[in-house]
Amino acid sequence: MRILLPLLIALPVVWAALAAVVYRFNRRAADLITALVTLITCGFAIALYLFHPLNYPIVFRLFGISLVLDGLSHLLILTAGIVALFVAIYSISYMEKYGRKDLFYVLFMLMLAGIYGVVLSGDLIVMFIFLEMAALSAYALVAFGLESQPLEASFKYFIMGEAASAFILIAIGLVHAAAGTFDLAEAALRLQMTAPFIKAVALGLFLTGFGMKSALFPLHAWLPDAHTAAPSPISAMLSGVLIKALGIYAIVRVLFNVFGMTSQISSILMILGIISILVGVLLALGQWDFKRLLAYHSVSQIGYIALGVGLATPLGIMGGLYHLFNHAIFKSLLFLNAGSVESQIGTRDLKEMGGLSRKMPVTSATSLVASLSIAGIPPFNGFWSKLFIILACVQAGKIWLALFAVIGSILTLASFLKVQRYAFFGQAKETLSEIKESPVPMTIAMVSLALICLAIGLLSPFVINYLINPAVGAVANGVGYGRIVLGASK
Amino acid sequence: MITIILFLIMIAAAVYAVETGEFRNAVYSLALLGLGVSVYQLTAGAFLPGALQLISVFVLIYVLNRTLLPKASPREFAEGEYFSRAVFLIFMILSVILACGVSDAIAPNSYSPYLLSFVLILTGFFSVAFKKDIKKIVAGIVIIEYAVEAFLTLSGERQGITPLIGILAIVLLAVIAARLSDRLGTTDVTKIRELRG
Repeated sequence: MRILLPLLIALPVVWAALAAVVYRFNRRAADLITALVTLITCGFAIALYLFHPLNYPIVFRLFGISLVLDGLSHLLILTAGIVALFVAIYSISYMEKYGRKDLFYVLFMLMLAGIYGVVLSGDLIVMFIFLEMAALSAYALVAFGLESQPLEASFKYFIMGEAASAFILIAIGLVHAAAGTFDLAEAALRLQMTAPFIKAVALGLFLTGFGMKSALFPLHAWLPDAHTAAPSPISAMLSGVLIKALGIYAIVRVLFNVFGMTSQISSILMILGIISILVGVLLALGQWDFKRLLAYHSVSQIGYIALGVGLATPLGIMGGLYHLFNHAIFKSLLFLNAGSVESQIGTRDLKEMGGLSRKMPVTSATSLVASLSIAGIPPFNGFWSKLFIILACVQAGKIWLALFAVIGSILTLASFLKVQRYAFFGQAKETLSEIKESPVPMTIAMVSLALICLAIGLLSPFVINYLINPAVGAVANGVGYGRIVLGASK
Repeated sequence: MITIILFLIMIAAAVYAVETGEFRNAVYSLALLGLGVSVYQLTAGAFLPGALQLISVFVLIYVLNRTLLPKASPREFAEGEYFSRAVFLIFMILSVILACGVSDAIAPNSYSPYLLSFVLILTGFFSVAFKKDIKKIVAGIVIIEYAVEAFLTLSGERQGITPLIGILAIVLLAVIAARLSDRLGTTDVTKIRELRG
């Protein structure tokens, strides 16, 4: 089983090297192989769930590089695998209009390999290298349209992303200076004996750097532009996976498993989380650009994850990680819906839409499922994770946080009622009379993700038991992570 | 002592790159900064990062000369920006106080290299945060990349390939910045719609 860990990274990298050549000779083969590579990596993630007991980590070491798979990294791998698979299928038709699909596949595969690398790294420097690999691919993919808006958004994303990377690299330097190692497990053991001041500065830098990557308020300024300007499949990857792997996952791993969670950090995360929820949803309410509205909701939903994790109670962590998984599914679906609408009618402006439910029934139905999921309506997946987060707030005696989380959820519902009312229902525009449903690969991707939204909601106890609880266990181990991983690698 | 002199030269090069009105001079100041980092890494025993850093300097000169140098900056960028400099000065003083604490905790009685690397990093952040010329913002990112490399070596890192990642980032950024200024017909970031927030 442990050989699957390097294969998860190597497979996309190898295909990234070959994709452009294969595409030149046979475009259809390149489309299919890209989808196949994402299917295989997703299959690896599922196989690891089926054949490996999740109560202890798998460690793979080669040339001084260590890859570690525990419950938390496993959840992220599965999330990335599912979203990447449907994004690859969707892109077969969607990316035709952009041209240079060979370059798109190269960058997409490098981004996927970077995401898997970040999540599996057991070493801070290796994690940083994969983080940069994913981030550089993302900057290029945001600029893929080469129009002025994507270039502007990419430039802004690049500047903020590189500033974040600098913060992270300085923090890594401080950890090395204090602990004498880049290995996460060894650092977790040695940092406990380090001067509190150094730890505080390194923690602050990590929180700022990863907070920027995850677009937590007030470090979210790059996100609305980047997610709006990117091709829709990439918006789905950015919002569904990238900000979680490069941001939230890294925050959770470093805070809980390397430094150890403290009440001060917990308070900071909760406050940033609740402000993100409210600011994100309030800004989203005023948007008429479909994708920009979704982008602001990403800020808001990341706030729910930060709030849950920041509570640092088992129920809160469970709610936060469950919402991370759910958000990846329904938000990537929403971006694919927005891309489907934009590709068929040529605009993202909600005021220029209307009555699309009759012209694009699949896009409309799947967007309704995703809207109900993000608004936290039962029995869809978003309901359960939001419920757990709110219950965790109440359980921890933070009633006002629970109240704001509920208000955020009601405002989210209002925002998506607006989307449904203006885009899919309401009066059909005469100019849209010739509109047709999107091509089959795009509808397959959207229907599959919608079914997953429903399935996760209906099979909630199963999902919690097999996917979320092992991740919660890995987080709850705290700095005991170091001892467990070093034990597993012997 | 040699390390301190090297860091002081690097700071001078970084400040000159940020403040000079002629971008050609800025490119060669950045190259000098990169060479300084490389020399420091090689003398500290970080041979792989040092060698990669050296290569990255030549790539930097080539890329900036090909992409951003031909783009003309608006004339008003040469005029003073007193407010931003005052804010930067306050920020720098506070950060140096913080850096003193960090240096003291890592290596008691040997503040200087850590302090100087912090000053270098802050010079880059100043350029990114307050300059209105795309070319100066790119120069700021270059300074940050190089300064963080120096800091990493200072903290004991000897084997990483982070300079390679750094130069890849700079190349991509320079290409995007050049394309953007071609599209907009200016290097003034205040004229860019999306960057208004």
